[in-house]
Amino acid sequence: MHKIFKEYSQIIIAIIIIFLAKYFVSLSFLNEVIILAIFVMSCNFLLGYGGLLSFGQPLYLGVGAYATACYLFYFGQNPFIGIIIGLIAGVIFALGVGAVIIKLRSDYFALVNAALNMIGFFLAYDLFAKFTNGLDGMWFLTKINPLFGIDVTIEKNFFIFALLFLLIVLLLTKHIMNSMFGTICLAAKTDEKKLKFLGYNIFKTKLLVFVYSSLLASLAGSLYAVHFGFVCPSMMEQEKAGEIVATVILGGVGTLFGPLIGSIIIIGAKDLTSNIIQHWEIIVGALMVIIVITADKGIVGLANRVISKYKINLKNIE
Amino acid sequence: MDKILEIKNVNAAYDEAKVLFDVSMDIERNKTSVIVGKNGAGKTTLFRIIAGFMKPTRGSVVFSNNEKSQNILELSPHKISNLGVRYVAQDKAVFSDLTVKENLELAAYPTKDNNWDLIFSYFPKLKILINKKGAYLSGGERQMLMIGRSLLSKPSILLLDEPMEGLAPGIVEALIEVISKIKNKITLFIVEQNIPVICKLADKIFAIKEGKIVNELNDKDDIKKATFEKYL
Amino acid sequence: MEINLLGPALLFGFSDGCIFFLVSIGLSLCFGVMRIISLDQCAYYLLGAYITYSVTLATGSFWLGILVTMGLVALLGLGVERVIYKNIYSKSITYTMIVSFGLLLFITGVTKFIWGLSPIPVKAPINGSVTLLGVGFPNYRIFIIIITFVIYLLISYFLNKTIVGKAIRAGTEDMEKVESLGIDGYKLFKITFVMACVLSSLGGAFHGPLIMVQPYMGMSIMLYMFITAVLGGLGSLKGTMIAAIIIGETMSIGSIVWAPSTIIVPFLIFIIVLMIKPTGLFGTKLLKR
Repeated sequence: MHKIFKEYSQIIIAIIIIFLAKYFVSLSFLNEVIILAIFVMSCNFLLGYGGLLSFGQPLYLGVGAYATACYLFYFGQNPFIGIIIGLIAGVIFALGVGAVIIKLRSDYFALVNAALNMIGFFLAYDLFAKFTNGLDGMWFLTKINPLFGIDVTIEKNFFIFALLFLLIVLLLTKHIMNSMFGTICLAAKTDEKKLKFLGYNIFKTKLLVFVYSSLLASLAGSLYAVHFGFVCPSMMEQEKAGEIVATVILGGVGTLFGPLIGSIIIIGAKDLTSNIIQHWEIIVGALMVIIVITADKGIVGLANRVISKYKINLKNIE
Repeated sequence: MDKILEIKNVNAAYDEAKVLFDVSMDIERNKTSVIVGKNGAGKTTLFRIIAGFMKPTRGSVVFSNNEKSQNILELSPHKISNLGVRYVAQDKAVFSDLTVKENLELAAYPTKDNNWDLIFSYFPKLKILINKKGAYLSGGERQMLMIGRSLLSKPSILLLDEPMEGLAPGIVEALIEVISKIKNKITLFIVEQNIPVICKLADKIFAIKEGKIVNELNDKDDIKKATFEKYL
Repeated sequence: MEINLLGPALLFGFSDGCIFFLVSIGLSLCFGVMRIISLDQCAYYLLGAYITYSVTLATGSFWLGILVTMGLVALLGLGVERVIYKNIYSKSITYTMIVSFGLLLFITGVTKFIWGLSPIPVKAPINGSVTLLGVGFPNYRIFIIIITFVIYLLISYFLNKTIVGKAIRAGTEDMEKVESLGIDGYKLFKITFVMACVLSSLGGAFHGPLIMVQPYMGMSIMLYMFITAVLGGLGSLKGTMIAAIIIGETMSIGSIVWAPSTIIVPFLIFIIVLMIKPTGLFGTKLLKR
């Protein structure tokens, strides 16, 4: 009981820290971090709890973004409903696609996602250009109505809006990680055969992980759409998929806060114009290899180790 | 007894599931030892450990040849094979994309033993099939090739894992004949559940049940009189 | 579609396909023998393009550049195999995908650091063109087709006529059985990996003059390399060649039928074939050991 309270309070503390950070860093930076963090959480959950590596996650980001965009452009003006539409689109899409590709071997799965990503990108900029305005993207900033009187497209309002969503996502994900389902997922990653013998439906488990992950990715996309009032095909660039995987590994695969910390570092590193940071691939690539080979959990893992060492030292002093 | 293989206190497990418990046996040189037991009793696991494809949790396997003895457990499988310990697996799988000739070429390569005539004297059919790809061989022909392959490079001991399983009676007879021919020139360690075969060939029998050795029969008469149903 | 463009499109597509073959055969062989997805082959492709370019610039000889590239990449491959792959052969496919991707990222960064971001146009070592089917077909592309053919024959000879090659083919089916015959499987791994790296680097070296050489070309080719290898059937020499030609031709012909299809068609073909025959055109069911 005490432990669970501690874990959930960590989430509250993290939200508070981010909230207070607005006095130190720009709001646009924080908003970017929140959206990216939710997206990275989707990939993190997919890899960490589903054991599924995908090189096509930007596709699911785009599904949510474009669904929301189409709603706000053609139909309604309520941003909250726009986001709900985006989420629904993400779930339906994931159910359809997942049912077919989950069964593939891991390298095929990663690759088919990449292929679907490319096809999705193509649909947005060419085949469906009549609806999506092709490469120029869709502008609908002026069409977004205020929510309960508050205009969420303004940076400081969106900040609160997105922060609330982040809170919900963190709480929900933590709940799933702690649940029986989460335990089954972790077991399925390493010992599929054993679990099958025990009667668990591995396919259903992985499908649920896939759907939840797509849900998060769609949410990130929808938030992006509502924040900027603009979507374009380049959000779905397949080339970005590798970067997302790197962020997942760096932050700590399978951890709750890994994506958040990883996002802060990646966006922060890209904003800095120092010479060393410009060659982020060298550092990130090397870290990826080292982290995976040493079975590390990235930065969160490092932090945990430091904290437990600190705790052990404290105990020894007593 | 001139021991070619001394298996001492070998314990093995797959993750948490223990499959071998303190298995100890001495294999005599140039004799035919047979190990009987139910499916899952641990026979193949033992063979794979000796051949180097699996590490036991405890124990040692000492191989003695040419006045030298060593524990072969630390060695990689190909080194164990080069010492003269040849493992013929249960799956009757030869290289399907390679011809009979190429299969034998690979087997002869490590020691450059090209005495193929000897192999053909045991398995004349292989000479006829020499250019056929492994994929087109029947089960019996594949088994002949597997054993023929392992006989190249003059092995000291053959580990045969259920060599007669799934073969037609005619082929079984032919294999028994070949084994009878070679059994005094080479040590044979065979896993077998086929009773007539056991009785015809075995000089010594080990019975294994649920990972433990439960019986040993040394005497030829004992072997002829014994019933093995309780182990199978 | 203009019919008179079909012929040239076929020729160009064929030479593009040859490049795809060189780039993808490394990945295919690595999986067949070692059951690893070596995404870092893209990095050796990248280095192949850059090293050849630099040596050519310094010495004036493209052929010297090729030789130096092969030598340096072979050494690098030996190093990478020893330091990284040696310890992770038994890990899952996902694991090696992530590690090799990290390696690709790292080498991309190093390349960017050494040579800078700007795209570099590389001059073809062979000039001129012949008029084929009413259109000028560069001699360099004819060279690519010929050299790819030669390389294909060399690999085929190696795999089918030499004892090491036969051992590798046998190892693709069952490395354990190869070991139990007394052959060192790990040595076969090393040979295969170095071969793969050198072939990938040749792909990059020959591709350079056809496109702009820039640090992200390794990342850009990754998908096409992966698709070609899987489409052909991982581990199959013939399969990779045929898949490469198919991809090259469909992209080329597609571009004169409907411009966007260059990007989309390879992925559509890939998904369709995978649904029908998951192991690829000429692949067999290769289980992860």
